[in-house]
Amino acid sequence: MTLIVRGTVGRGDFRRDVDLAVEAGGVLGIIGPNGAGKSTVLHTVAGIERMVSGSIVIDGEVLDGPGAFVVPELRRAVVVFQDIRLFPHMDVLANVAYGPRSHGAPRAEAAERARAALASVGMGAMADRHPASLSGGERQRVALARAFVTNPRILLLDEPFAAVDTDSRPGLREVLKNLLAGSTARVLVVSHDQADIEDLCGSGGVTRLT
Amino acid sequence: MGVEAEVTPRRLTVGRTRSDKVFRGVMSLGGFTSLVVLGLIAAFLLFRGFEIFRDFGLSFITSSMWDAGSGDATAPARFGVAPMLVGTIVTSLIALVVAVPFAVGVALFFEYYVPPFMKNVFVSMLDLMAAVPSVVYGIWGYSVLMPHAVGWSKSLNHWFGWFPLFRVPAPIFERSPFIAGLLLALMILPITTSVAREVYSQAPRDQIDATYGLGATKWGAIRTVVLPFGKGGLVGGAMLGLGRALGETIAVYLVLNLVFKVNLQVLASAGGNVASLIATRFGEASPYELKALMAAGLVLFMLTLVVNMVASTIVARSRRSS
Repeated sequence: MTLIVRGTVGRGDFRRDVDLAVEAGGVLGIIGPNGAGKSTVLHTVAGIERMVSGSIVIDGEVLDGPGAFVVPELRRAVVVFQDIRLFPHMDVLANVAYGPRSHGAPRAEAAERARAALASVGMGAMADRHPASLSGGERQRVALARAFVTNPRILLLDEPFAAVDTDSRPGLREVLKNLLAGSTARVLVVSHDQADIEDLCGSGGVTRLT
Repeated sequence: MGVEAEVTPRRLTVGRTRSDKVFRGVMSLGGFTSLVVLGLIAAFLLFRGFEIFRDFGLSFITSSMWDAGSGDATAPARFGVAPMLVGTIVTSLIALVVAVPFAVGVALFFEYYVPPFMKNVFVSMLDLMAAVPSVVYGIWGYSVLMPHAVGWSKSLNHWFGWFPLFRVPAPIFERSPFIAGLLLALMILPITTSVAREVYSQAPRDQIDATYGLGATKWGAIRTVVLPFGKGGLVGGAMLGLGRALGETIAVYLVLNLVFKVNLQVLASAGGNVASLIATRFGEASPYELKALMAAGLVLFMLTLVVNMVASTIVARSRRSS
């Protein structure tokens, strides 16, 4: 039940060696300076980029490796991006329902799940709003709801507090910890902030990219 | 006093260098020249066709008659371009309805599905389509497209004949507005596709990755991000295509039966457009009929101008919003 990423990620001249493993329900922190390839690791695990060499394996299934590549939509991997990336032309509910809809859930069921997910991050009252009218902290809550609603088996958090002001961080951190506590996903968290990582990862551990 | 004088802001001026001035002059000259040429064309057509507008007034646009008369009072000349104007709009709209979905498909295919090494080959081939002379399209349309299109017309008439647009007064399907529209669709495909491709290529990469990051397929990403983003630009491309279709002459002339009757039955063998009317009558026109052709040209010119202005406004607006 382990996600194992072992090999080289990158593109063109940019190459980084990676060797990490995370159990189901576990959280692994990845820290490192700018340009260390942290985000590239997440994008590669999500299937947005391909591995240069080596493999990504989950529960014995090869997601990326010699002669094998599972497309993003079949990986059940979800990314929460550093710059949030909500869809600006959709309201909050449609943003959160997007994942379930992409995986074939009927419209009504997707909306219902999205409402429940929004409620779990304290955004139930904002379902009809558009992203442009939300604060940074509110947008990040929506982004978390959008990720967790799909019940992913791999969750990739790229600097989850970077776009949020310092006052909103403690509340958001609690929301994220609650969500993680109820999830069986293998979670990779990228951050600059050692304290953030240690708070989220608990005993899961931290790996450092250089 | 002395202190006040010291804190008065210094006036900053930026003087243009000589090369700036020369460059500015050349660019301005180019811009104004195109405007002047446009104005001169309009003035020329108005000057030559003014007599017709004075003699016939609005009926020149609304009536359906093209009779040069005998030159005396017993059989006066009568001119009205309504059927040609309607034919111009109908054939162009058919072209648009057929070409735009194709253009969207082709543009998406080029931008998101074709392997990079093949993309340039495909794009060059499409651009080459724009370089084929109209008369070649016309001949091809007449000898290759029409025999096939007649069969499609018959099927449309057979299955959808209950719809007024697809009825025919007699079972003759050659040289119809439908066939002319199909040919025009092929002719405007390169420009419409090219604009659509340009717009789709600028769809925000981070939003596309966000859809993948949520488990979307490529088509899901296109539907969620690329198509909404490119909507404005696509409308602009379609309008540029429409502008070309409205003014097309020789290709339409070869595949469309020139009949002076307003015809909205697109499968029937009757129609025409303003440009092909001018081409047909120009050689043998009397001086007075020539003025009528100039007036018809002015009507077409205004129509095309309006379409192009609407297109550039839409493209500019979509560029701002993106």
